[in-house]
Amino acid sequence: MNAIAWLGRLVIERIRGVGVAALMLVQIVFSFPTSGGFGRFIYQMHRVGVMSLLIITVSGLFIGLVLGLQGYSILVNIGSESMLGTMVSLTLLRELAPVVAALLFAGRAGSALTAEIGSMKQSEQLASMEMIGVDPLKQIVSPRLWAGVVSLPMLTVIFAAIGIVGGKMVGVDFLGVDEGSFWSGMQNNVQFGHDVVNGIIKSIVFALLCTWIAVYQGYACDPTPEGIATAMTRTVVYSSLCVLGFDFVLTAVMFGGI
Amino acid sequence: MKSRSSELAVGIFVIIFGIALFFLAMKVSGLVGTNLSDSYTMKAQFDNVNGLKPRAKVTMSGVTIGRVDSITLDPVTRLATVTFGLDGKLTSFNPEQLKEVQKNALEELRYSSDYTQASPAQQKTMEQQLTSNMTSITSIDEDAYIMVATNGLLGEKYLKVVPGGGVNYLKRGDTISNTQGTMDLEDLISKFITGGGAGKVAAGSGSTEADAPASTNKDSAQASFVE
Repeated sequence: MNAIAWLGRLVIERIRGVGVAALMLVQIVFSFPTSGGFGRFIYQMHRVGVMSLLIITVSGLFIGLVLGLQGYSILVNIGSESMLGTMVSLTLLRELAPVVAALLFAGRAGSALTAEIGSMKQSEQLASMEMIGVDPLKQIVSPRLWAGVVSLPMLTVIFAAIGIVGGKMVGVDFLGVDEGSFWSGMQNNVQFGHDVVNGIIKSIVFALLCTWIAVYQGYACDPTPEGIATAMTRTVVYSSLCVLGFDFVLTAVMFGGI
Repeated sequence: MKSRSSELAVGIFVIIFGIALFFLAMKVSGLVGTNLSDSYTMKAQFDNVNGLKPRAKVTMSGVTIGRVDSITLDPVTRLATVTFGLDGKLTSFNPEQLKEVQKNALEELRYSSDYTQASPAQQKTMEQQLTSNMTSITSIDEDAYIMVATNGLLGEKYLKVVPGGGVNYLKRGDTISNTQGTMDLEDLISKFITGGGAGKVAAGSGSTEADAPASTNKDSAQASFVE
């Protein structure tokens, strides 16, 4: 009997959590910007976006290198290694750059956001803000959310560009694919409005999901050291699952039809 | 001080983003606008453009002279209408060559039976008509045909203009009437097996089977290599 009650409470808690998170998002999106909000936004852009730049560029470069290497060894078997540029660029633009950048972002920036907001809650900074009449949603959560939503698409574009350069390094410079056919095949097959823009739309959705989950988990966490640790774990797990699930849905919508 | 340095860092971040987006737009998707000088569009209708995409190249003798703009379906003829932009610099004559072409055309005209039977005044108007028609011509003659070709065995599809030997030239904006669509290997095989059309499959039994292979060969040869 106890187990059933526990299960029911768990489900109700989760559903309530989704409701609280949705209300929080609505409150943030439809609130007026506060004075000094832009400065806080810039500061969070620095912490969320710029600080993630290194891991994004390095992993983008290596993923591009690996794609170039793997693509070459597959394509050379059927004598069409001139398609390498097309393969690398489409793989990166459509799938790998949005997804991998979002996963890295969830691990690098999302968990940090959760921990920060969670420890603010633990040290009762949020409660004292409310006491003096400052809305912590506007002051603390909103700039972080917007910074995440803006910076992940930018990081994704940088990721894709670096990855393509990496693929070119391996394919053209090391393995000797013809440079002209590498670029011209890419330019003939990549459509800016279709591939690049859809990749950016994907990453905007992922950015909203990741940052939303991160700030909610921080805001709603159990204010104990253990609670913060659990919230950080949940941030990374939920973000990754959401990113992969939504990636399938978005891909089906964007590229599944004719 | 802290906010100044973070503003600087965000500024650098935005600039890197701008460079990356520019790279994706220009170098990766080749969004260079149109690098065709003095461009104009022409049309052609194909029975099959399977595999041809917008922005595929248009070549003549291996030289890229244009890009495919759009591919639409004509509701009346149910043929694929391909609109493509061509480079005016590469596909038109310079003034001296134009004079030569006009001279040849006039000579041709003078030997034609219509011209010799007409009165001198009519001859004059015919000549004028010819030269005025010759002002905005391209170097693509009327006998030229355009085909959907494949780059290598597995490469992408593109349009190939094969010049003919005519002395009459198409004007800018004209339609190239001689076309050959994508040559589907499966179509060829099914033509070879069924003898040119699906209707023959039912009839292909008993005594007709003996001469079927011969006619099949002829049919498929005519159907697929007609230019």
